[in-house]
Order: sequence, then structure tokens, then C-alpha cells
Amino acid sequence: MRLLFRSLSPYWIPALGAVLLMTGEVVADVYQPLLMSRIVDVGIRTGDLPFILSSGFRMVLIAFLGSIGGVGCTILSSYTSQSVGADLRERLFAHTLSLSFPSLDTTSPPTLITRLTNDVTQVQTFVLMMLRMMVRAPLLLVGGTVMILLLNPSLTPFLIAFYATLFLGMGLLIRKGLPLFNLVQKKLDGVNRVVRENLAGIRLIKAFVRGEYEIERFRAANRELKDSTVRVSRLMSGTLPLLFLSMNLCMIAILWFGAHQIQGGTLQAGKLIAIITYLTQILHSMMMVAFLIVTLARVKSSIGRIDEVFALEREAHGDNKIDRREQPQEGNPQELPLWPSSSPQEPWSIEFQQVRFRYRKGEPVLADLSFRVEGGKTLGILGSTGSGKSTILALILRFYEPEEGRILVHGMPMHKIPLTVLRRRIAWVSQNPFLFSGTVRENILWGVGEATEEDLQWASRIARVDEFIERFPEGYETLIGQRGVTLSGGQKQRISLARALLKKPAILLLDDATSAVDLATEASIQEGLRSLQGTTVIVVTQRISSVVFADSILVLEEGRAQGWGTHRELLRCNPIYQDIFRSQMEEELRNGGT
Amino acid sequence: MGEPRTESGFGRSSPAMGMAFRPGRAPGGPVYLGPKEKPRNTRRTVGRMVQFLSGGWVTLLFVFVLVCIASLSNLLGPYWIGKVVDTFVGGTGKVDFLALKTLLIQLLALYIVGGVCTFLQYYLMAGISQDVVFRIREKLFQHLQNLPVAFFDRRSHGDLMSRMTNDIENINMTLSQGILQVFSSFITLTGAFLMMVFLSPLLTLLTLMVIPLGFLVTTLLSRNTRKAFSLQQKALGDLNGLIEESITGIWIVKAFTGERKVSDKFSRINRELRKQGIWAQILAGTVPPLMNLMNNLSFLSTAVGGGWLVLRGSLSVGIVASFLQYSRQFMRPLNEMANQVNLLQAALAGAERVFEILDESPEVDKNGDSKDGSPLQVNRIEFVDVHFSYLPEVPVLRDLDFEAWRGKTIAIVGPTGAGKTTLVSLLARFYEPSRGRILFDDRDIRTIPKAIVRGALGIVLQDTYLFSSTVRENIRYGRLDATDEEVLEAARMAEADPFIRRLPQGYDTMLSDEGLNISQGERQLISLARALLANPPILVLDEATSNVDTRTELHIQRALGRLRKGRISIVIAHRLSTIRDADVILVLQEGRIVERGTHRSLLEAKSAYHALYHAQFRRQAELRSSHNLVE
Repeated sequence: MRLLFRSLSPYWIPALGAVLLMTGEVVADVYQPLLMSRIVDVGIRTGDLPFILSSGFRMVLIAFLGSIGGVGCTILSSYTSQSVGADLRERLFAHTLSLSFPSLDTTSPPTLITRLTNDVTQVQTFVLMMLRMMVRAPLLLVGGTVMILLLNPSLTPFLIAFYATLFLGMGLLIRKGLPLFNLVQKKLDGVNRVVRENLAGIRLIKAFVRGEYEIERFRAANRELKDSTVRVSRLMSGTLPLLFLSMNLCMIAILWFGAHQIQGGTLQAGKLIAIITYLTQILHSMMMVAFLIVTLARVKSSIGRIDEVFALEREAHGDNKIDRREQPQEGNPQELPLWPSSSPQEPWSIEFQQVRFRYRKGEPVLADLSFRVEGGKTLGILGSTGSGKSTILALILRFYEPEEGRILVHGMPMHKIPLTVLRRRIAWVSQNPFLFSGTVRENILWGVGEATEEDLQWASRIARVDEFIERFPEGYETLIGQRGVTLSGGQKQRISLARALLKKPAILLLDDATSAVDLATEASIQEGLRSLQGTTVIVVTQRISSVVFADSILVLEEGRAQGWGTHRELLRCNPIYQDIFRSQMEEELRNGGT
Repeated sequence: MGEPRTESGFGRSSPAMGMAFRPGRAPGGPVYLGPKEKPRNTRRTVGRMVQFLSGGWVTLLFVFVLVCIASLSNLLGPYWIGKVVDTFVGGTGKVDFLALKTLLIQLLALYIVGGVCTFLQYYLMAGISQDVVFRIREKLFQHLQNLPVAFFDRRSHGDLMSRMTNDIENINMTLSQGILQVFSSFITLTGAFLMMVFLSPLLTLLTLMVIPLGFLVTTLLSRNTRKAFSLQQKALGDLNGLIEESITGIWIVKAFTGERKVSDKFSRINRELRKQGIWAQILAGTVPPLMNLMNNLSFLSTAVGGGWLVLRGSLSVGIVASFLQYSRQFMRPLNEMANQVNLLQAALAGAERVFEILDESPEVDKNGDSKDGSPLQVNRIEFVDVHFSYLPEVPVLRDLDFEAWRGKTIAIVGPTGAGKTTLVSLLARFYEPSRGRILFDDRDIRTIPKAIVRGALGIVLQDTYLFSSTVRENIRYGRLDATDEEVLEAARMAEADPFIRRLPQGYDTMLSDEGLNISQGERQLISLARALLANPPILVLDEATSNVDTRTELHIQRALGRLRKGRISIVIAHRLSTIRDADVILVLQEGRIVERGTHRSLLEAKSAYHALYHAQFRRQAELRSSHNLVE
């Protein structure tokens, strides 16, 4: 809830204005029945037509003033809520982008996305409602009650009985209803999950002929959803008519009691009509209150979820502030020189000293790892699935911090280098290529903003993007993703490689980066990579053929260095390397001589 | 529906709040006038919806009777109150208590009847509508299961998902609340009008004077509101797209220090969204206060006009009181109905989108879809002159001719885009060849039910989809009745056992939706175990171990070698080391088989395969020479 008020505080002036204007509308609404009762009691009874007309005129005036208040409140509350929503969204997005990887591991992308989209919208809608209804409902409630008591104080017991019934009904509704609403929401999520899985895994389901099984699974989820929905609806269908009935009973009682007072001369007919009007107002504002409570409960969980994200740790390092406020608004990132293309590129050396690392929980992934690569050299890291190879790259990118030991980059302890500087000089090609929607050109330029046509050609030549891009009628302007062409895994890998190369990085990290590329192409890519000047290259792979020419090779097994040296050295004296070599070569050698 | 506004009249109002309490969407608040959607063929869509009622007919009719009664009691209430007012309007000492007593008891009965009917109508409708929605969901899901793979390749999953969720949710809302409300609004509207005319035609005219004005205002506003909302919706869509993309790819964003770039783009769209949002909310939010004004004006003209008529003695005060109430009853449904009709139309348009999917023709299987039939034993697969293209002008496979025998392994190699995976799709009958035939033991597979064909295949697909369930259940998906022991055995065979044991909860570790918490190689191993568990006569591995390290792969190769007896193996790979043992290797290029033979014969031919092979092992010439150092 603190979050809500903090977000609201920059807009306290329009928010206050909205509240005041709404008060105006409520006062007008509360005043109307009173005027009306005067028309009946004074105007009609005494036959005073001018009085009726002047009262009427006053009613018109008040109605107008009330509407002005209402419209004004709408304008201010719309402005406030949308601004609060936009600010919150922006802050949350900036925070999400700056989260550290250990924090990101604790949440999944879909939940982060939901928080940014759905939850923020919930808060925004709530602010809008709050500024309108949350003021309106209590004011109407109090106004109505005060008016009734002013008109006829002897009705107090009836009012108490009326309120008691309402509170009881509302309490019941909220106590019983809320958990049920949450249950329905959970069941709905369940149904949606089955659908989502079926859409994503349809080939698999068909290949294994599991249609019937999935239908069964869906039916179960669907039935649970139906049952819980029916339960909620039935609860609602019971409670609401009951509330209205109780109000009507109260009204009948007041009519009976009021008639006696009229008989006794202590009450006028017009006043009685007005009292009943106020009763209806009270009931409606109570309904609004109940509705607000239900919404509040839901918004509270939205706020809680947003707060969870804010509570997550950001990436260390003050200079990585991507907080927009600290940067010039009009600063176009595309004009920022990320790398001075004229200045000579200096490759960076990397040194691991006794590095120990584990993910949040679980066994150590890297243990006492030490190695050093000189600037401009190529290091191959060879190891089996799950040996910790990719983790080394993640540490170099400072996605994670080592638990013990330290990493020197360019002779400097890594945490001394500003994170943005570090990452601007390192390029990384991940196992699963991720491309953004847009054109091929935009994707290749993604890391640098802009580059000369020459550089673009150079990068796509080395990554062998040129080979398939020519076949697309629109070349580099081809749209990819939902609205464009579907690329094969190999094509995506090549584009993401070109994207990395264009950065002209001091360190290039390749994580099994050509696994989906066909062999001939892969060979020519490797050829091109060897020609890179001024770049330290780290190649993570399972294939010996990819590291043969590396200046040094690190053999990794369950997070420990089990060998270090050149291909020849390792072949000579490293049993694990020999083993891997055999597994990849023995057939080859048996067929030797071809 | 809109905010519950003040009712300055008296009497009861319909419990429309039920709708506002429903979870799953942001209810209440501002009047939502979404982009106006119109169903294209209302009558047909309604007709189809009705079919889903099945047994609910009688109950539904009963519900409509209840709605009528409830609405009538709703209508009669003000009339009775008017009469009540007339009993005491005389003032001090002139109250007619006898009549008052009778009238109040009648009024009480009226309210009780109305309340009971309202309760019953919503209670019953909850059952009916949820049954219908349940059936629609079920039907749609079943239908989705029967649609061809081509359908899913063609459609965006987001769109399908939204039909399955949002559109059905809209139908749900409409059924459980909307229809009843429209119906009762209609009855109330007509009834109130008739009552008013019956009580005093002159006063009716006075009361309804402001209505054309109200209509004018709302039509003007709502037209602009819709425009503003669709602009807002567009900005929101853009923003959500950006959010989704940058969070899914956050690793890349960070590694490429693209935070600034992304957040600048975000701010730009966010500002636009804010602008459009403010506009849309202002326009939509202005309707209720303006309608309130209209209400008050109408109230006023009734009160003043009524007062004047009373003074002239042509009306009783009670009738004016009734009138005040009727004017409310007339205005409120009028406001609501416009909204409800919009919602109804949106729901119908949603229903049309749902039915559109139901109209997609399912996978054709002229041979019935007998799901159980004895499992197929296949000794020979033959592709005869198979052609295939997704788009007419772009052939993917051409003149494909080959055979695969039981106990033999056939390998397919070739560059990306040569059509290897398409070949698997044809084999699994995801797609049908545009020309030519695929035979299982001389029988065209088009004459065999799809379920049987697929039942004979154990496929490890290139995209290794895993369900959000435990590792064990994911493997068991291959054969649902497999024991834990058999699951373990399959995992061992696929070399998945060692890494699974290292997972936090071993075989009971939950995998997340997209299996993000394990590596690509590990996913492949689980997929392989899943396929092995099925123990099929035909094993198809489509790049099944491309991300698995070579030593593990070698172990898998050995295990698979043992499995080869008695089954047909089809292996697609670009890593040639995995296919050297194959009995036949087909080299596929641009959809054609350009070469076939064994590893040795192909190498000797020194053609396409030779080139591929040497591209991969170019550097192994050097390796070979260094091999001497090992011994």
C-alpha cells in the first residue's frame, strides 16, 4: 500500500482537486431530495406555484453545479490515474531491466511480464476508482445518514437495524466471497496453462497421439473452473437479493412508522419521501464500498506482486544506472558512440583466480577455477553437458558474482570496471539465439546503434549471414518474427553472431554458437573468426574440432579444471581429453585414409 | 457496466452488481466502451450458441419467466408506493391506516416475490451459463486437438490463446449476466413507459423531454470514446509487445547494454499510452456525470410539472411520487442498455471468433479415427516419388524416393533448409505429400488412421517441448502406463539419469513452463528418454542430440545400437559423427536426394557427402597426425 501512496504523491494536487470536485457532486446529490421534499411539503400543500418554480430553478442550478463537479473530477482523476500508472510502469520496467541475474533466476519471465502489464493496469484502474468512488461512497453514506437524522431523529433505531443488516451481508459476502474469487482465478489460470502448453507442444502431442489424454486433462481443469465459478455465482445470487430485500423491509417499516408520525403531525409526507430516497442512496453507497473492498483485496495482491519485483536486488554498481532521470531525455542512444570505430581496438586479457561459484542453491558449479588468457588469444573451453562451461561466460559478463576468488579483466579486478563499459566491450553469442522483432538489419545493429555499411557487410560476411540474406527479396530489410519470415535455428545463430561481431569487442564469447549451423557454413565461419584482430575469443563447446586451433584449451569436468594446454599438449598427457578425443575421433580414424 | 450511481428515487433496483464482483477483469470503474465490434452474422451465431444449451432449455425458459415476474414486481413497486403516499398525504390526522396496512402487506409480498425470483433467476442461470461455457471450452479444445499441424503453424499462438480465454470469458459474462440484464431492462423500460402513460400522458411527456438530449450527448461522446479507446488499445498492445520481448530477451539486452535503448523506446510508447489513456478515460468518465445531470433534469421536470398538475387538482401526490420513481426506472435501463448491447455485441463477435476455429476442418482421416486398433508393426517404409511444398511456388521436397528396413538405420544429412525436418512431418502425417506416396509395408499411410501411424513412431522432435510437470511425468508422457522402474530404465538408456539425479529433487524436480531451468542438452536427453519409453517400431531422431556433449552422445549411440534390432531407425543429423554407422545415408540438398550410400561408399564417391564431411573434419587432418602422440 505504501507503494500506492508513494506513486500518488507527485500528483497530490490533481488528486486532491478530484476529491474536492467529487465532494461538490455529492453535496449536490444529497441536496436534491431535500429540495424535492420542500416542493411537496411547502409548494404543493400551500399551493404556492412560484415556490415550486423557484425550488425547481434551484434544483437545476445545483444539478448543474454537481455535474461540473463530476466532470471536473473525471478529468482530474483520469489525468492522475493514467500518470500514476505510466510512472509506475516506467519505474518498474527500469527496475526490471536493472535486476541482477540471481534475482532474475528467482522469477520467471512470464510472471515479470504479468506484473508489468496486468498488475500495473490493476493499480491504475484502482487509482481511478479510488478518486471517484472511494470518496463518493463514504460521502453519500454519511450525507444520507445525516440528512435522515436531521429530517427525523426518531428513525435512529431503524437506521441502526438497517446498517447492521447491511454490514452483516457485506461481511458475509467478503468473508465467503473473496477466497472463492481467488479460487476461480486460480482455476482459470489452470485452464489457461493447459491451453498454452497444448499450443506450444502440439507437434509433440500429435506425435505421441496424446490428444485423448490432453482432452482428459483439460476436462478436469475445465470442470474445476466451472464448479468454482458456479459456487461464486450462486453465493452472489443469494446475497444480493437478500440485501435489497432487507432494505425494502426497512423501507416498509419506515413507511408504517412514518405514517404514524404524520398522523401525529411530527412529520410531513415530503420528508418521508426524501427519507426513503436517502435510504436508497445509502444502500448504493454501501454496495460501492463492498465492491471497493473486493477490488482493494485484488489490488493489494497486485501491489504485493509489484513490490516483490521492487524488492529484488539490482545489479551492483552505481554506474549502471539506467534510471532515465539521470540521463538527458532527448539523448538518442543511437547517436551515442559505443565504440570509437577509428581508435585502435585493444583486446582484453582475462584471468580467473581461485573462482568458486554456485547458483542460489545447489552444488558448486565452479570450484577453485584458475586460468589466464592473454589479450588477443583464443581460449577453448571443452566439457560435457552441465560441466559449468556456460557459467564461466556468465561470470565474465558479470551476470553473476563469484562466491570466492576473483576475476581480472585487462589486469583489473572486474568489479572495478563499470558494468556498462565492461559489457560494451564484451560480445556474447548465446546458445539459444534471441532476436528482436524488426528487420534483420535492426537486429544486427542492435548492439551498436549504427555502423557503416562496410562494417555491416564485414560482420555478416564473417557470420555468413550474407549467404542466406541474399536469397530474401528484401535483403537486410526483411522483417523477422510474428509478422515476418520464420528463420531457421542456424540462420538465427548466424544473425546473432553478426550482431556480436559488429561490436568489435575486446572479448568475444561464443557459447556453442554454431550448433545449429550446417557443417560447411560452420567451417567457413570458424575460418573467419580466426582472422579477427584485437579480440580475445573464448569458445565454449563440446566438439574438439572447434577448439583444435585455440591457443589454449581448458578441459572442464564438473566445474573443475581437469586439463589446460594446447591441443597437442592435452592429447599427450590428459586422459580426459584423450577420452573425449577418442569419442569423437575413433570412427574417423578407423575410416582414415579416405 | 458503469459505476453504480446514486438513485435519488426509491424502491429497489436490480442486483446488477453481481457482474461487478466477478473476478478476472477490472470491473466497475469507468464505463468501458471498447472498440466497437459487431458480429457479422448475429442470427447464425446466436443459433450456434443455442446449440450448446442442450438440456438447459427448460430451465432457461423458466428463468425467463422468473425475469418477467421479477421485472414486473420491480415495476409495480413504485405504483404501490404512490398509493401508499396517497394514504398519508392528507397530513396530520388524515392518514388512512386501514388502507395503508393492506398496501404495505401487499408491498411486502411484492418485494418478497421479486427477491425470490431474482435470487432464483441468477442461481439457475449460473448453472446454465457455466454449463454452456464448459461445453464451448471443451468442444473448442477437442477441436483444437483434431486440427492439423498446419493450422498451428499458420496461426499466431497469442491469437488462439486470446480466443480460448478472453473471448470465452466474454461469452461467459454475457451469458451469466448480460442476457438477463438486457431482457429485464427491456421489460422494465417498456413497463415503466406503459405505466407512466397510463398514469398521466402529460407528465410522461414532461418526464421524457430530456431523453433526446441525453441520447444526443451519449452518442456524441461514445463515438469519440471508442476512437480514443482503440488508440489506447493500440498503444497498450505495442507496449506489451515491447515488455514481452525485452524481458524474454533480458540476457541479450544486458549483455549488449541495450537498457537505454529499450527504456527509451518504452518511455516513448508509455507516454503515448498515457496520453491516449487520459483522453479515453475522460471521455468515458464524462458520461456518468452527464447522465446524472439528465436524470436530475428529468427528475426536476417531473417534480415541478407534477407539482403544478397536483395544484390544478388533476393528479394526486402519490402519482407524482410514483412518477418520480418511474422516471428513474426509465432512465437507468436506458443508460445501461446501450452499454449492455455493446457488451453483448462484443461477446457475439468473440463467439464468432471461437466458432471460426470450430469451422476449421479437422485433420481429414477418411479411414475413421479408430484410436485403438492394434499397434502397427512395420517392416519397411518406402517413400515413392514424394513431392511437397508449403507454398505452391516453393517446393520443399522433390522426387523423394527411398526405403527403410526393419533392423536398419537410415540417416539423412544435408544443410539447413534442405527439407530434413519436413520429411519427418510427412512421415508423421502432420502434412500430406502434394504428390507421391509414403508406404508402410506397401500400404499407403493415407489409408492408415493417423493415430495408428503416429503410434508406430517414436519421434524426438527438434523443438524439445517439455511440460510444466516433474521430470518423471515428462518422461512418462512417452507411455502413460509405464512404471517408475520403466521410466528409470528409459532415462538410463538416454543417458539422462546422471544429470537428473543431480537436480534438486531428482526425478520429482518440477520443470518450468518452457523447461527454462535446465539446459538445451538436458532437455534433449529427457525428450529422448520419453521417445525410448514409448518403445516404438519406428524411431525418428531429428537432431535429437545436437546439444549433447560428444561423450554422452557416444554412450547414447551405443545404447541406441542395441535398440536398433527389430525396429526402423531414421536419424537426422548434421553432426556426421552420429550417423557413421547408418546402413544408408541420404544426402539431401534443396529438397532432393543428391546422393545415397554408406559412409564409406559416399566418401569414396568424393561428392556432396565427401564435401560435407571434409568441411566438418577439415581440421581433423591435423588431428589425425597428432594422434600418434596419444599412444
